[in-house]
Amino acid sequence: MANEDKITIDIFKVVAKAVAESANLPIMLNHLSQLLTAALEIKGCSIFVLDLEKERLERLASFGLSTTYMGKGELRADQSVGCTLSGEPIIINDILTSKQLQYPEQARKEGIAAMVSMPVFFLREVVGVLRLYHNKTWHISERDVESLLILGENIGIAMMLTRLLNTVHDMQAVLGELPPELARLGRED
Amino acid sequence: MGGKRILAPFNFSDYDEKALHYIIRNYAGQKWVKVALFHVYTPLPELDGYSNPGLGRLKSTMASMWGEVREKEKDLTQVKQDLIENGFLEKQVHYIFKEREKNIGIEIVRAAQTGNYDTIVSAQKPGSATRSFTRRIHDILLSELRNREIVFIT
Repeated sequence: MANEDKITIDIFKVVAKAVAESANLPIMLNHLSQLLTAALEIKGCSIFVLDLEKERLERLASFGLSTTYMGKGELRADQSVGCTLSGEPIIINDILTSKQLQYPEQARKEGIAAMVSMPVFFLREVVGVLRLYHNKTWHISERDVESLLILGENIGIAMMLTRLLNTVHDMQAVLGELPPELARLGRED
Repeated sequence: MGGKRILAPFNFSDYDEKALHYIIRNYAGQKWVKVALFHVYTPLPELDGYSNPGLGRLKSTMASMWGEVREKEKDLTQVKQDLIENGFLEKQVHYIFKEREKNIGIEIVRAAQTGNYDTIVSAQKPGSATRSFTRRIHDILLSELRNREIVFIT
């Protein structure tokens, strides 16, 4: 029997709208985590950004996980379901039979039985990870995986747009603090 | 004299625990000190605008998830209890459990201003990559708050 598609077109519309219409990235990502947890009827969801310099994942948003689990330690990009970073979705149907987890014992204690890890892309580069946690063994449908990959691309665009806007604001703030004679330099009068 | 009023943003992280320890170490037993634990939560997205029957299951699951969001308030009362067990009186400690509307830093600033808190003990420390996406809390506190004592726990 085929695995049930949970992300219907109606649900996809709601989720895509939540991504497109929010001006605040952390709130949007938290809503996305909540919506995906509900839509897929799973334990929880986290969204990470990839810190390329330190080769680790940093959590931007989460729902359904305990603070103990989230504080379990640094997530090494190459060890924490690392293959996601090659751009492929990683599906761990049963964590008890997988060697891909950095913290398998903590996952088991948290009540996680299965995990799906999706790359978040921007211009074909992996910039983050969308990770879903189930409290039962899980055989996600192919169509749901495709829907999540598309969502991952939307998340990547939203993340990079926010980064760009923040950079512009920071530059604006620095320019605002310059003495007037320096701030005038470069302006066309 | 009103005494010292401390605002302690708390998001249940290890860093926040360190901030609590700082408050206990420095202020426990001092009866003129008041402490407010401050937690903002992201509300679940509204689905009321959607009438499509295909979303019925999603709506009912979302409704049941509110319980998990509210559970944090119970956790916050436990943190308040921890302070009481470590040298504060019941009347010295309270908590603010608030829906998030803005950046966390802005929420802290607003709470400090409206509640007239003269001291903020903050321990939130996002990683370096995260900072590209959110304004750093300590930047916001330092730029927006005046005539207040701001303690950052690292």
